[in-house]
Amino acid sequence: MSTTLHPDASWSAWTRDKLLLGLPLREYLRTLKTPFNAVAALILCVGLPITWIRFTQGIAATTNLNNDYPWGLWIGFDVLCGVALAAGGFCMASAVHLFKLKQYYTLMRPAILTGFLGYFFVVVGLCFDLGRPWRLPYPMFVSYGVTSVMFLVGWHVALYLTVQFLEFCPAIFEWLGWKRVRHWVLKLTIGATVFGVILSTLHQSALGALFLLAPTKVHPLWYSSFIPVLFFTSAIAAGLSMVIVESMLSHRVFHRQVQHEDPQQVDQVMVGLSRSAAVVLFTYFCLKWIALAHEDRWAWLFTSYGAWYLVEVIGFVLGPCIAYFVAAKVNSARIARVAAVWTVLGIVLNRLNVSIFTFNWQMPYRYVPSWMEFAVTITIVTAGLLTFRFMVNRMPVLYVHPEYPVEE
Amino acid sequence: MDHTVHEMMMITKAHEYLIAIAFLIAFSAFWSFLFRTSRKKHHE
Repeated sequence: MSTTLHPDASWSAWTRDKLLLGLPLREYLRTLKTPFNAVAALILCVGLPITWIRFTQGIAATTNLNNDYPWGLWIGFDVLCGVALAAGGFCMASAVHLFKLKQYYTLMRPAILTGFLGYFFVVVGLCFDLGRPWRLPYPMFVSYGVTSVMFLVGWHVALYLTVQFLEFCPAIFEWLGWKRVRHWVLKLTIGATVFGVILSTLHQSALGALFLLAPTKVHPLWYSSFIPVLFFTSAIAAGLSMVIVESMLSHRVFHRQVQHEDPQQVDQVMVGLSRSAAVVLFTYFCLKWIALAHEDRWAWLFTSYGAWYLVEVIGFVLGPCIAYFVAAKVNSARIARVAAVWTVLGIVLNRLNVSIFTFNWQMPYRYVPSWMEFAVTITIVTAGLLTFRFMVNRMPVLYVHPEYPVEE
Repeated sequence: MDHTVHEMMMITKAHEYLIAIAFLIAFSAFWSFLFRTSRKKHHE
């Protein structure tokens, strides 16, 4: 006797199983009544009307940007910080797939998801900042502009977003139960990882190269012909640190999904990452001084901007570097986590220094973002967190799916 | 052709190379000290 369900019944079962976490709709909605969701809803209630104003009345109606300051918070934080902090995806993918460091496998999928969503919401942020966002595909299909760094950044972000989606596809197909498609996608893993490393190297540095176009606007202490290399190196440190921060937060928020993990093993992985991060931060620290020597900007160190520069380089590069070093030497995951948060703050400070705090340093007035710019940024970050939670709660991101125990 | 030491260093960019070499040495020391314990453990 046939047991085939009515199409409506099977659709409803699929929805309940895959989307509503196996709960009836009413019960699922009841689980959404949490303090975090209340705050998120409040943020969206403010952010969405501002989004409407931005796209109906233009940039001038919502921002304090002008011809002197064409780039503000949305580029400085949403794009520059977002891309740097999303670098964990290619770091972990290359560690696991190219260098065969299998102990980092459990961190790879969350890192790739963070990277993918990070880039996705960078593009969302970019759409807010572009005067005519509907022309985003122009450099790809209509007018190439191959001599522009923007062309490089645009193509790289688009391609890398695609690559990260491909890298994350196995988790989506495991969630959907599409074994054959997953099998085919897995065959692309090595190629996608290599392509991802190439794209990341180029476009992390290309974001720095954008500032080579403004030698009179970027402060001499931050302006250097080394800036592409500095952006790339610091992005690796940011990516590794974000993996640690994200693992720390995931263990608190999604503790049910990671309860199978051995805490000591997790701590060892954190210490291993802190060793790599210490090396990268030390390299970055050295490069900062070599760049300063290359441009012969020593005299600027004795100005007020110089003091701020030293706060960044010593307080937020050397400081976390030493913390990572100590974490590796004394095998302390706790110190590694402190160092990770410290590094993330340091890289955010660097990007904001280059693009906002010291940008146009000779101008008689400063750009201060409007409250609506802050609201849009907070809305984008909240949307990113909500999407991350939605996917982690449904797909095998923090745990290995029982039907797919060994990664091919 | 009388140049001060500072001028000579600026012309040859010698200070840049000196700083690079100093950091290379510092980096080697940092690396070996960072990985010393783990290598010992590995051999054990």
